[in-house]
Amino acid sequence: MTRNSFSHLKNQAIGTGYLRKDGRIGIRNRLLILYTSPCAEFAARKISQAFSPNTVEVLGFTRNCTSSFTEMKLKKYLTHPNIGGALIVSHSSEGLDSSNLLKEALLSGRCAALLSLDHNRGIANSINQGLLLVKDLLASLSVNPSQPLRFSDLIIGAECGGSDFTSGISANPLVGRLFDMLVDLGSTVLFEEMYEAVGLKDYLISRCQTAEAAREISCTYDKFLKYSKEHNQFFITPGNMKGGLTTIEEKSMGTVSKSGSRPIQGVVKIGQIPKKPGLWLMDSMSDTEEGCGPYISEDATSLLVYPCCGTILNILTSGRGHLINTPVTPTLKITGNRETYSRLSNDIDFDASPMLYGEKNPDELADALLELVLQTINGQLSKGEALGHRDGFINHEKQFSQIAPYTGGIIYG
Amino acid sequence: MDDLFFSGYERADGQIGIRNSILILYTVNCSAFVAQQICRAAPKDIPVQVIGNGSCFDNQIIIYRMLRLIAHGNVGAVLIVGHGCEFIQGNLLLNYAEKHRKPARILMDQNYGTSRSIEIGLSLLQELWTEIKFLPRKPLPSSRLIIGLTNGGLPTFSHILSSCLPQLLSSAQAACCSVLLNLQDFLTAQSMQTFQSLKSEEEISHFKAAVLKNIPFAFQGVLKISQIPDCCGLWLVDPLQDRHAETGIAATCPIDQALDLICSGAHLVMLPSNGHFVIGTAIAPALILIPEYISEACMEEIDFTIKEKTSMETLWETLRPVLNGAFTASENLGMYDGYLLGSAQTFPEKIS
Repeated sequence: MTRNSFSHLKNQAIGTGYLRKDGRIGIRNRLLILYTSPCAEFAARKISQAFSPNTVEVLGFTRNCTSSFTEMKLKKYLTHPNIGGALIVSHSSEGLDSSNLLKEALLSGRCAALLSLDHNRGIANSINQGLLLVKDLLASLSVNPSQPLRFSDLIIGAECGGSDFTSGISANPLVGRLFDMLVDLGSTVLFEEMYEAVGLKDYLISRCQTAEAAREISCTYDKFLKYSKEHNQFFITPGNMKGGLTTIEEKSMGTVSKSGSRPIQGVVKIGQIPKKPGLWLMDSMSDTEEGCGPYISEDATSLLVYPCCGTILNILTSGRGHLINTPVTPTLKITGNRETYSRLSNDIDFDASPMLYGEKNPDELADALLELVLQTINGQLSKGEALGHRDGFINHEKQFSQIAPYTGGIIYG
Repeated sequence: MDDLFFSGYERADGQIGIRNSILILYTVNCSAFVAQQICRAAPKDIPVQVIGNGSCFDNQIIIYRMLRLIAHGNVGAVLIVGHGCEFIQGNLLLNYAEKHRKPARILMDQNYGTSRSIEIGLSLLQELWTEIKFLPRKPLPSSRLIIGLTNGGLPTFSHILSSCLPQLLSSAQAACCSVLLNLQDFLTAQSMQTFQSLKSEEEISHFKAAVLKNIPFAFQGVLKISQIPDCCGLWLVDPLQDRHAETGIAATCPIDQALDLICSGAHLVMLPSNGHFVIGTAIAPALILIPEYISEACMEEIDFTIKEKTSMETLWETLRPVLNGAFTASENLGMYDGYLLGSAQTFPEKIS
């Protein structure tokens, strides 16, 4: 059992957040400018650049085709608890009915407006109108956080990127220890990257809480392995190898250590929010025969899927170093590589290397990391947020809502 | 008809261009922010644009697109921004730029962090600009010019195809340049759906043959993604997948379609539009056209009105200042958009 210095805070207020109409609590209260096609991106970004990224964030869909699945994802961003209001910037060349997005945002209690570029004469005029709309919307957002926040309100996702030889023995197991503490305190935590769990199917199944969870893990593992085999695309990069990792199996053992040791409750698909607290796996890969988007896996885009499953904070571990931060859900970055931290200390939030050097024991570091999490959920900006990073694409996946043995088409990468 | 002339740039590798820009090319989406911030912070007198890979992987078509853009005649110099973990190797892109005798630098942001990378990037931009800014324009024949033409937002591009396009094409052909059309513009929503239902390479091949047969223009040939025409005349660019049609990237926007033409060498892309908005593309200026029957348009953001009787001389009068360096409406707005996408095409040869 992991020592837990925070157990006295279980069920206690650990901060304040923003209460939303659906009962969820956000740790930020930002206005989201959401563009719904690439043709609307320029205007959306121009509008956003007139404001601080810590007040107004911009995010959008970079493909022109659309589906009910994409619409669902866009709605998840609009109604995410960290988002207090939204300006939807749309263009008629897309297949999406943006009025549905507006309705969803308004129904959720957000202040929201729709800017249709082709209903205005010219880009310059549209941008000017958008600026006025944002100013109006921001006036409605000026509230202070007042809702007591408890560990049970937290949903946190973790990912690794740019892994090296230190990742599997420092930053990732440290996050695993943090996740154990959070689960014990009643939080919900998610991990993903099943493509980096190669060889660990039996291990993951053995950790499942129920037979149904085991079935879900099994199906999901098989899907990812099938993808990797059929595309000869195993997720170990040149950078991983330069960093001292040798095989996907070695990388996988480090990756999975982020999940800690608590029972796995099951698998959530994109857009599903875990039904109860505990440890969950998020499956971010398309599993439809009719998918019309590539399976793009890069860390920023993968992290951006987490908010669709309700995470209010993301954690990214990196041995070689990462600079990114996710829109909607802030990202805390951790490295266990001392040289990386000293090089990128303006970008990386937490140095886990004392664990590797035996200077601090894992419990001490996990406590310090949880302290950082608490500061961040109470408004302290992550380093990526402070630098203005807002990275990642909204990808075009399609998924079945049910988890079943994978027999479908292959998503081209 | 003899060549018409314009004033453009001739590169060390023999390519020609109508702009002398620095391209910031990011190799992975993790570096997009740093690349974009360098572009935003660049001094106003340095023409700089940014585009890159939205993925981490090294899909062959993405690499071909990158190589073609590095060698593009409108690009005077290249700043490659990588992260350090990704599959695409920035050093190989740098080698390719050097092979084309194009000034180039590389910056791996993992080495420096966000703020320092932006500082270094700006310094590298200055170095590159110093190397290319005095390149003079010189008279160049229109026969070396490649013009793209694709749907710029008209709900019914077919109207343009039936009314204005023949006139445009004959004008352009009379000017002895190469003109690229995009195969996707000849697909209806229904035929696109049909395409995406295809399973085998053979089915896809038959589908494409049937589409080509019904296009009412005579082409010099069909170009795959990032192939460039080898003689003047009308060419068709095929950006559709040769395999995995059901899972591919068929449904694109006008910006993507314009980029397909730019990756096949277009120096300028003409985009017939409905007049209600403009789009712009990186690398090659977008020229927004509206048919004369459209009366409700923001005219200051429109470059040209096409009439049924538009003559070659009139078209050339419009094009020549743009070819000579005058900004289009989208350039004036600072619109240099686009992402590079992967695809699944069988490419007959390596890009040289």
